[in-house]
Amino acid sequence: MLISRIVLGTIFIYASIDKIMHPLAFAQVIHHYRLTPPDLINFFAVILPWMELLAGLLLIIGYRVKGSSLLISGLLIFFGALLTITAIRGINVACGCFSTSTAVKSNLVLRIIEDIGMLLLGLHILLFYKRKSGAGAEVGSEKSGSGIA
Amino acid sequence: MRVRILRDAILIAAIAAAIGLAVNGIRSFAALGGLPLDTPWPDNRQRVELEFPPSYEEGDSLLTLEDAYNLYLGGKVLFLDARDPIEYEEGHIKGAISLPFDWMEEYWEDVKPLLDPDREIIAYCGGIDCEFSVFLARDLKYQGFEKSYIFFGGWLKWSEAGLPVEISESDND
Repeated sequence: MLISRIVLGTIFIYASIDKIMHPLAFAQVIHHYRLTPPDLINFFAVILPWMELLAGLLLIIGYRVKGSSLLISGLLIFFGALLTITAIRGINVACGCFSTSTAVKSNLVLRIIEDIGMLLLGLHILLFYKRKSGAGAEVGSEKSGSGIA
Repeated sequence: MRVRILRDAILIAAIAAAIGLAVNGIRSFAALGGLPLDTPWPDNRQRVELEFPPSYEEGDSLLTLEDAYNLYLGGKVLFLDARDPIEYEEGHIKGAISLPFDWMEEYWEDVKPLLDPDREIIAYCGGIDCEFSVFLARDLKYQGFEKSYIFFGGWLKWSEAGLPVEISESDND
């Protein structure tokens, strides 16, 4: 589980850095997908990378792991849906062209597969991660602990 | 416990959003690349009409007028005019190079050095009755220039939209 958290967390932190440093370029990419309402593009360009960064950090640190992995899984489902819609519409996202090029479709399919892979990691952590210690770590243990003494 | 997980996720998202907005605000104030949140982008969400050439095959990469113009603005694309040289001289897309489909062999040697597999190439012809752009782009792809696009009905669409064109000066004058 530690490996999964570190891998996924690192991917997300790495993915967020460039977008944080170049928000205009990221906004341009969002614009090329032709899906977001125009007056929300800059807003999403600003907040999304920080969600990736924060969730990735928390995942690695090990704080609020289930919450982070839920957020990450949610983001991945969201991105996956966007990629799928774009692939169906035949939009070449890199150049912003509306093109039925088959070369473009194979790139998007690759991205979708990567997305699903990360989503599986995220869901795995979400469903099976157990906090090691601390009050209330196990369901139903609060009451039983007092019976020991 | 499930509610707590959801609450955590929402909280993390909200805190991250707040940080992002704060950082963006500081950058905007300090002129360090902040994005203006009240400035919308042009709305490009409608599915644009894409005309399919009669001999369209899967693998052909078609462009709309908007696509072609966006690539033109990017400054890196090469337009190839597949029409007769006379038509080219009378008016062509600004910056386009003449590669008449009917005289490919003669022009190819001069044009080929200008082509780059990493560079976007747009082939266009006159109106939608001319499919030279389709055949030219296919030829180019076959030769390894993967980023070859078809701007079907290109010259007509481009000129009617009033986009940048140029006229060749005749050498004979």
